[in-house]
Amino acid sequence: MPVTIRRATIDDIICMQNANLHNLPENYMLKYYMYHILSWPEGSFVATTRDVDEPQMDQLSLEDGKGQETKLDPNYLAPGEKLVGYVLAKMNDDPDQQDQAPNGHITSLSVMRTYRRMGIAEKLMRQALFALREVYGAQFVSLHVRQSNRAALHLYADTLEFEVLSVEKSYYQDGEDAYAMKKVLKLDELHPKNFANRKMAEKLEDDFESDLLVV
Amino acid sequence: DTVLKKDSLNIDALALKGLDLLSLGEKKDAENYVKNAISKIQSIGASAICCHVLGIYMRSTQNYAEAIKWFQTSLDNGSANQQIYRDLATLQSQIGDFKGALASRKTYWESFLGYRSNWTGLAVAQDINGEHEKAIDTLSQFEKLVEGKLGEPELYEHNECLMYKNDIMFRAAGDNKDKLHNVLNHLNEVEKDIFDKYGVLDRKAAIYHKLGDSKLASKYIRMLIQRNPDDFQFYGRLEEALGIQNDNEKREILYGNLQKFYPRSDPPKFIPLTFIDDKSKLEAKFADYVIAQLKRGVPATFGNVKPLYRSRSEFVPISDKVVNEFFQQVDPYKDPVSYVWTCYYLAQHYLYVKDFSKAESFINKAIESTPTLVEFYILKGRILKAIGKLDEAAEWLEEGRKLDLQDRFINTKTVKYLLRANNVDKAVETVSLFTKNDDSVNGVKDLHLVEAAWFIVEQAEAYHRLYLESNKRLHEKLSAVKTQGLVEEDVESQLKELKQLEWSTKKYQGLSLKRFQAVAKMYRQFEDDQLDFHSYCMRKGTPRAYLEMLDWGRRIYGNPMYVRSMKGASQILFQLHDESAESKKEFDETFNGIMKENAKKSKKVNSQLNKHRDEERKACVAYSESEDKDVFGLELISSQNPLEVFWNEFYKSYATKSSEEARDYVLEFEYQYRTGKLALCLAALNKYAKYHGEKSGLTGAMAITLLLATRESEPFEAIAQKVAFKGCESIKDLPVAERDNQEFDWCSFFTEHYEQDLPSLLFLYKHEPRQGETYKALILNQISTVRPQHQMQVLQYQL
Repeated sequence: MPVTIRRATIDDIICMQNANLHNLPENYMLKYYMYHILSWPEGSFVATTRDVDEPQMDQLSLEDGKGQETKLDPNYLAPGEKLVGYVLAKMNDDPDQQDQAPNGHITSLSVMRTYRRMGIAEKLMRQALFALREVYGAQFVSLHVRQSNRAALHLYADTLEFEVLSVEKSYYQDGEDAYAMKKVLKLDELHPKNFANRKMAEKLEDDFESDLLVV
Repeated sequence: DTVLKKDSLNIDALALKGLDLLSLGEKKDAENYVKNAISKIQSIGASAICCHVLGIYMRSTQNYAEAIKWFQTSLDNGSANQQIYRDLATLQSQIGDFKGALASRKTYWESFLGYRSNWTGLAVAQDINGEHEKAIDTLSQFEKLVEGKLGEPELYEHNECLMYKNDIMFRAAGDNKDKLHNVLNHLNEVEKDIFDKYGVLDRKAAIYHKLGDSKLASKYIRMLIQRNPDDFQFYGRLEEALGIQNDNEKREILYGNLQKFYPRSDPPKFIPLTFIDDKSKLEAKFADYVIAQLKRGVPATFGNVKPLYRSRSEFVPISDKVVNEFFQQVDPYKDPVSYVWTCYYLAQHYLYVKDFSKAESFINKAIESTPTLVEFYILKGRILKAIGKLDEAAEWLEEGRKLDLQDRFINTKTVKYLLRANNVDKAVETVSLFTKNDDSVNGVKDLHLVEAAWFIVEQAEAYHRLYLESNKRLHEKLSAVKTQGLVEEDVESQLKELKQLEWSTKKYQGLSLKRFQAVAKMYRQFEDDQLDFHSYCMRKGTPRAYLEMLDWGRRIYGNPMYVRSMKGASQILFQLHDESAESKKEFDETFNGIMKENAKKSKKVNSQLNKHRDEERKACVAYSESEDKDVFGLELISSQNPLEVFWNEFYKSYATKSSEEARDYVLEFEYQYRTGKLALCLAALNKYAKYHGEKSGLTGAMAITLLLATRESEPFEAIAQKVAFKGCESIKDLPVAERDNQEFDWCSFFTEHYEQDLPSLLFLYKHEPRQGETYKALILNQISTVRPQHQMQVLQYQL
């Protein structure tokens, strides 16, 4: 199966760390990923692909288990399942900022280069923003982005409508500046169904009652 | 210190001093003080505080079982410090003593009833021990206590605990309808307080499905799809709820409708490709799916449909036809995006069907048309790699890397290709462009620090290949010198070559094992990283995620990179074990003999080579040198008991903490075969046959190897041989009566009864030297079916 977007679990974190090391210069030890998943289990998401169909229950008991083996490759989570992107999100738990309204932070987002132009990063972000608002009551969310990272800037500023708060000088280890960005979160606006259709005019919504089995 | 000055035997002070030194990083001294304290305790006993201090010391040195012991002794000796129970529960959970953890949690809870975390902790411990009713009760009691008293910041924790209670109820209900109704009622009751709406919908869908109410089940799944139309899992569940899994006509209508709701999502478009039978319809659907992506220039278009190539072979010709036809129509000048990405697709298609020259010609077209796209260089490299041109492949990756020096992904890929080509120096230089190299000449140390397993394993494997090559050359050179003697006018350079080869061989072997071991260490760290979360999650109120962590921890050593490192290490350690003492002695004698004969020149050569040793060393440092002096791994490979190293460093964890179904039983066989435990070999063989079939090649290869190991002449213990032979008698078709027949042709028996494949032939080639040449011939025959890249690997490194 091609790309699936789903909530991240602890079973994903080793591959998330691997994807981060493949794509980005800011890296974290595994414990930091554990900390995210065990503190805010509903906030992070992953994109995965499957080489083979989902294993059926009756297939698992087949005598010849070949093909059910996990490839010995750092991208693989399970037999045939490969991680291609993730978003790691948290709530702001800085004790010095307890006076602020609850707010979220995007720690890291990346998609493997060979899986770009499929809208994966946008979809991951939309799920994360919705979850931060719905589950954790985040009133706004913030993130940092490299000044030179035009693709990311486009995603945050244009597609996801973040605003630039400030420029933080030499934010990154290599001396590059960062844009600090922020988005106010409104639950109704964030529901992923609002983005199922590109064009507002053609919007068609499932009412959950209609018969899906008639033309 | 003042107390110790007065009374150098004060046990409390000794223990405290030990702990103090540990926190200052003086590990060795700390250990001495602690040992001293413990030895005195044995005669005179100890205070509760002293035991507590020792427990803390043991915990800090990851000696959890000992820490538990001391904490417990501290309590037995009258410590009134109730906090110890919480620390005990944490340690007991970490080592998997959940019964003990329950007792500790309970006592702690009794002392501090005012904290929710203690109620949650108790409930979790009860749940783990199968006391579901009690766990539910514990959670309910606390809910009653705080009814109407919760403040805003506590609401998330409350929501998680409510949902956790529903989890336990759901698990305990099984398929019992009455109980499932109770679970549903509870869920409806608490729904308003639950923030994890996804979890609620998911649970409702599951309950209605179990209750057989397909209408409501499908309604909730539709709500889930609306929240996330990009999760394939929901669509399968929807089909199931609607009861149409086997009705392709209805499925087609379903996905037609869903496509209208979710035009930006993949599943409604993709899934019909997995079941439509009508050939022309299928072709049209496939064309829609693929060509839309090619027009948009989606790099992963081929990757998206590749699973179809595997599951439905009719897609190979369909794809060939559809995409080639589209390619004919595309004008490279008017529509360059479609043109280059179609070339890119076709190159991958032909690579898949092993038509390498066509693959190469298409990727060349893409590069010619748009020489600035990194992806094309990666694919060019991949094609070259597949045909075994590893150096050229790395060069193309390097070209691609230069196009986007800021991109770490292409940097990583390039490094991987350089390592595959055994170009370690260049790889390290390249990878270091993205690492922090503050206190090191390159990025190797940083990559260990940030737990970059991908690099460490690739480097380990490169070192291993370099070792094999260098070892081969060393032996060739040595036997040449032995038969022909040193050429008179060139003695010095020949000695230098020999010395250099001997050093490289040792160094590469050591470094390879060292790197594999680094990955094993990393995973031990991951396992240990759980420690803090046993109490953290209770305070944070995330019991559901916590239970998932425990489950993850139980399978952690089955992770792909751990297994890969362990297998790599097994090759080195098994070889060290297998090398006979005689051949080692013979080698040393010859080598040292030559050096002795030319002692003066040899000394000169030595000092020349030693000059570079320090630089070499700096380039290989992986840990801070105060903590690790064995930079090249030389101590590691000179162990007297390689099997013990394998067990302690790699296999013990794997054998206990990886899922049983996914375990590598061939490795288990190989290990136990060498320890001489033939009964365990038999068990491994049976497990393997259970999961892979009685006719599988490796089943046969292991069966033959095991049977022949039960001959009296073999160096295994007699009783173990008898047990294994008994087991062999029940293996289908195995001609046990022929065991002692020296003339019996086991190779023919194997080929007639089992599926011949490369792994099984290589297994027999290694284990049955008596028919080695016959197996070799079969292997050479077999490798013509695999990619040139793999052919070369077998020829170069396995035969």
